[in-house]
Amino acid sequence: MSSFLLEIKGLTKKYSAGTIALSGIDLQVKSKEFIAVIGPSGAGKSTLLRCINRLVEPSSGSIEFAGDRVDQANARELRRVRSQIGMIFQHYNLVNRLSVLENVLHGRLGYMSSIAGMFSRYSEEDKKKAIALLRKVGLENEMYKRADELSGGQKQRVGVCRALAQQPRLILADEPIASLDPKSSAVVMDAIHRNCAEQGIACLVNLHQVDVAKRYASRIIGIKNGKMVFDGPPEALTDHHAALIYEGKESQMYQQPVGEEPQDRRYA
Amino acid sequence: MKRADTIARQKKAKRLLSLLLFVAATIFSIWFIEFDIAEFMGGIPLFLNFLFVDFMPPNVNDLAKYVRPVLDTLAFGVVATVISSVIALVIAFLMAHNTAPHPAVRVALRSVVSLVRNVPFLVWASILVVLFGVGTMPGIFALILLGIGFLARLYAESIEEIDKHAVEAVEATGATYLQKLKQAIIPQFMPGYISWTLFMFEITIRASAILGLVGAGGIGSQIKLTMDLFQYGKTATVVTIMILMILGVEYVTQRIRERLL
Repeated sequence: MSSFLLEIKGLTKKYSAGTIALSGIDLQVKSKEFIAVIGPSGAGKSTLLRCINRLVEPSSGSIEFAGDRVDQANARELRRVRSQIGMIFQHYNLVNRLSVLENVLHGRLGYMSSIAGMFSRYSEEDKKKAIALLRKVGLENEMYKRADELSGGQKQRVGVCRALAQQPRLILADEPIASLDPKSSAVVMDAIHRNCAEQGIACLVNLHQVDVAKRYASRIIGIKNGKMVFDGPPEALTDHHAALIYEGKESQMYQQPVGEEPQDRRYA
Repeated sequence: MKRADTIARQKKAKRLLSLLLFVAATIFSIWFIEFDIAEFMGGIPLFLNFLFVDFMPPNVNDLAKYVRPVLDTLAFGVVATVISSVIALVIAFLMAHNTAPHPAVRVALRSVVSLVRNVPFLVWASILVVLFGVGTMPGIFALILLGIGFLARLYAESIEEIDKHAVEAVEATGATYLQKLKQAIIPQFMPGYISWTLFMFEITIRASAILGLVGAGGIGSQIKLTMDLFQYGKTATVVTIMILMILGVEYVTQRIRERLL
């Protein structure tokens, strides 16, 4: 049992097509750390986050979360680990045909029996907490709206609330602001940062933008071609380092890829 | 340049060859079944005569007698649609690739459903009439089989098309398989489910009209009965009732669809 909240050793992920997304990543995360993972698109940031809660199966290496070996967990253990790890996605990943409140309450599913969760038998306390979370991000009037009636920034705040509803010990945020305009981005990043600080939640957030990473993070990790090439406090990340991480893809460093909705996504 | 020319010429040759084959197949088939174009043309006036003289005027004396078969047919439709949609729903979740518990289950169910669907519906009805005897039971069973074959596949396709990102998010909260199904997949699948089920109801009504022809009950039996007795005026009435009934059902399902979706 290690003293870290999350300890990753020699994590490697090979996709079946033969591409190596991650090779030999070692990473220790202490509780309450706010870590920004930066790197160009395709560097393996998203795969790294998804290996931690095994939405993507790691090829080799070990992952230990709060004393549990995630990589060796069976289905039941994995669900318990996942219930303690919140996740925020680039495309919000809300269930569009359900209400905002129901989407937030999904964060409680991991703590309920299968049947109770199926039939949405959330406790009064869970509902009150979910409403309080929505109020905190300024969505108390949107609670009963369908999720697809919201704007992108609002949807992402719902995504943040869903992750917080889990009362997690760790939040994984995969490009949470990559599809948002600068103003919504600031609101969302503030909401993640403030809540994590207040509740002592550790956070790993993937970001394109070096300036955003420097503004919020207590520690920055740079990933390039599946390898960790930087690990240190934001002050230590010089322009020289940043240039190295983004070598050949410099345009992604500060640019906001606004409106980057993939064509194949349909919101029915 | 030369290469492009050869490819273009090859393409042209291929197209010509396909056309020749198609023409040859048509000519052979006409010769093989001894299709007589003169007889076909000569048959048209006969057919029109039958339709407009023998069928006219529609005999409406027995109108009250047809109420029961119409209600029977509608009831068949409701029962068959409800039962087949419930069974097909379970099968669809087991055979859609994003919800199947195991690949073997998926492949096995796909083959079974494919078999049920590929045996024509009238063949099922005829087999079932032999098994259960003439009456309403074989008709309902045949409609249920038709519904399962049709709906299981369409439901499964709808389930496979839903947004997997939301499902991933619910999975990431530590949800169980059943929770994922109910909280993330079913809400997204609902429009497809309602829409296909209503469509199935329309198909069932139309099919149950045909069912009578093999002695499986419903309004179709009246068509066969009156035809067999050469009471073509009555047949005309029954066919008219059937058309009105189908139009009525289409109208109602359309309204339901507009309301719900």
